[in-house]
Amino acid sequence: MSTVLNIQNLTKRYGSLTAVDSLDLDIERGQVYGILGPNGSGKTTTLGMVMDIIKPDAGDYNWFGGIAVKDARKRIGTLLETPNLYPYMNAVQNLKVIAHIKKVSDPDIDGLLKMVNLHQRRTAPFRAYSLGMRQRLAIAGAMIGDPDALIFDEPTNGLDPEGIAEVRDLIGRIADQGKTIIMASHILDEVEKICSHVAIIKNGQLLATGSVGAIMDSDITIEISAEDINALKYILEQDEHIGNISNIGQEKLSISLDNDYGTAYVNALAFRHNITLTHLVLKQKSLETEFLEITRNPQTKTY
Amino acid sequence: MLHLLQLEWLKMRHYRPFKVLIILYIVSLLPLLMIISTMDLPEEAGLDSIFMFPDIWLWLGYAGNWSTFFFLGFLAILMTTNEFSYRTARQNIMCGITRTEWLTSKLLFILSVSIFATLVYVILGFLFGFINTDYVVTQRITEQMYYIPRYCLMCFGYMSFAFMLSIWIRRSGLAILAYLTYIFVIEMILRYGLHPRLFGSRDGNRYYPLNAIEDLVHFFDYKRLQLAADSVQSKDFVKVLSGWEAVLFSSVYIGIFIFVSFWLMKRRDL
Ligand SMILES: Nc1ncnc2c1ncn2[C@@H]1O[C@H](COP(=O)(O)OP(=O)(O)O)[C@@H](O)[C@H]1O
Ligand SMILES: [Mg+2]
Repeated sequence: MSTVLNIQNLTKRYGSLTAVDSLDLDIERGQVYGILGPNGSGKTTTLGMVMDIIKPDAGDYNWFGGIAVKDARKRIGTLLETPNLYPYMNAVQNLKVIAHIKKVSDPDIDGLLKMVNLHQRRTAPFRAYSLGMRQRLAIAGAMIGDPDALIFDEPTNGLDPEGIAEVRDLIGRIADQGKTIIMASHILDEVEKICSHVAIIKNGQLLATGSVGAIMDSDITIEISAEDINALKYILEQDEHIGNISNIGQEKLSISLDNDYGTAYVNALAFRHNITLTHLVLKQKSLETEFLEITRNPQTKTY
Repeated sequence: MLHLLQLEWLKMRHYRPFKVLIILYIVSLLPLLMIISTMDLPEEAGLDSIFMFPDIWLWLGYAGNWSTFFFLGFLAILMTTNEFSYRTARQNIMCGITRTEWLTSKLLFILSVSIFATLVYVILGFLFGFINTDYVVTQRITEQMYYIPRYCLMCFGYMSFAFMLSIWIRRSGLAILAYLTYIFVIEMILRYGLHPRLFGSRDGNRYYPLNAIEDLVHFFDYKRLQLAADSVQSKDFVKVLSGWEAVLFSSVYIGIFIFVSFWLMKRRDL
């Protein structure tokens, strides 16, 4: 696998605030990489630095294994924070400006406008567009010249539910083309639905990275109960693969265990000790619980 | 180079204020000429020849001095500050041009507008000259044509000053305010308040940036200025930079404006 973006020790300070704090990140070709973090965690600042519009205080980054940064940018489509287009120009004119900058001589403007469902409104000025239309036009702009990688920063921010669905669908379709996508978001659900990999950041610090699946699967929680709950608790406590054990009310226990072991393991364990389980439920953690836990505990985890 | 100039043209061709300001520049040359022609200046100044060759070059140039300062200066401010308020400057850079290219693109456009504005000046100059000069003598037509390149430098000077302020301030309203305040207030304080206090006299107070640019195509020519000044009893009036001084100092100042623009743009976040 070839690396699309490599970030080392990237740091940005605004006065006494460290917006991005010694960040390391590796994004591989074909990944749909989510950068997940609450508002103000440094997502936009990070993406701004790797796109050369914000000057880092320390650290390095390189694109596509280290080609010249301005050539790299021509191969990346970017939507950072807001759709930044000329309000007095219509969709076609705006896309032509982008194509000119990227030196794309025959941009498929009609095709792109159809893809984002703006073809019929293509001669209306950008000023007259709704936020959802603006966002979609910016996505079309990002797709000019068939880029290798795309950056979408909070692409659904401020949209109504219908707009959110449209933009997510659009990003899904772009991901299906096999493009590398870097998407910043503060919405877990969005990252969980769209991304293959995720980096969780808070206060500019990297808290966890890994595939979305691995982060979700790690530390499985199981709810369990038996006739003799104290005997059950006793044998669970003796087992090396079982972590936290806590009571849920009088009759149930909640246990966590390594993600290589599942409910079958627990069942077999109880059976060996002649304990009949009356209740066994896998409570797979959503990324949400994980996200909330990780953001409370400032220690970098790698899955 | 051509690619960068085309980029700015793509942005400007659909921008209505661009067209409006260019049209205002062209039409304002005419009424300004009319106003000057009705001004009550002394007979000895010999102002009856201002629409004839070769005087037309200076007089039309002086009218253009004001038009350029306002309309082309504002154009330079709008075309630059807009890119910050629309956040298209950052988008342009993210799309793949460098900051140097971005600035070069704007400066090339400003240079093109200066050349266009000079062409308008030349065409109107010939038009007025041929209509009003009774006996057109070729030598007389070309006598003061050195005002033509100086006019172009003046346009570029005002616009590059406005450009620098825009890169620095980024907000259109504030940049326009700074532009007007600098020339009408700050430079006046520097020239007539600070300068005499520092150097003991007003000598040399015409070397300040915007005055040097203004003097490229100044109000009166030397001989007439002397006559006019004698009759209005104001010696200060007389001091205008000589042609080569104005060219030299303006060029240096323009160099500084461009240098500062690049310096600011290269080190700041967008
Ligand atoms: N230009 C700036 N000046 C000062 N502080 C800033 C600036 N830009 C961002 N910040 C601060 O840096 C932190 C990270 O911001 P940002 O990268 O926009 O976060 P996110 O995109 O994750 O919401 C925030 O605390 C924000 O207030
Ligand atoms: Mg942000």
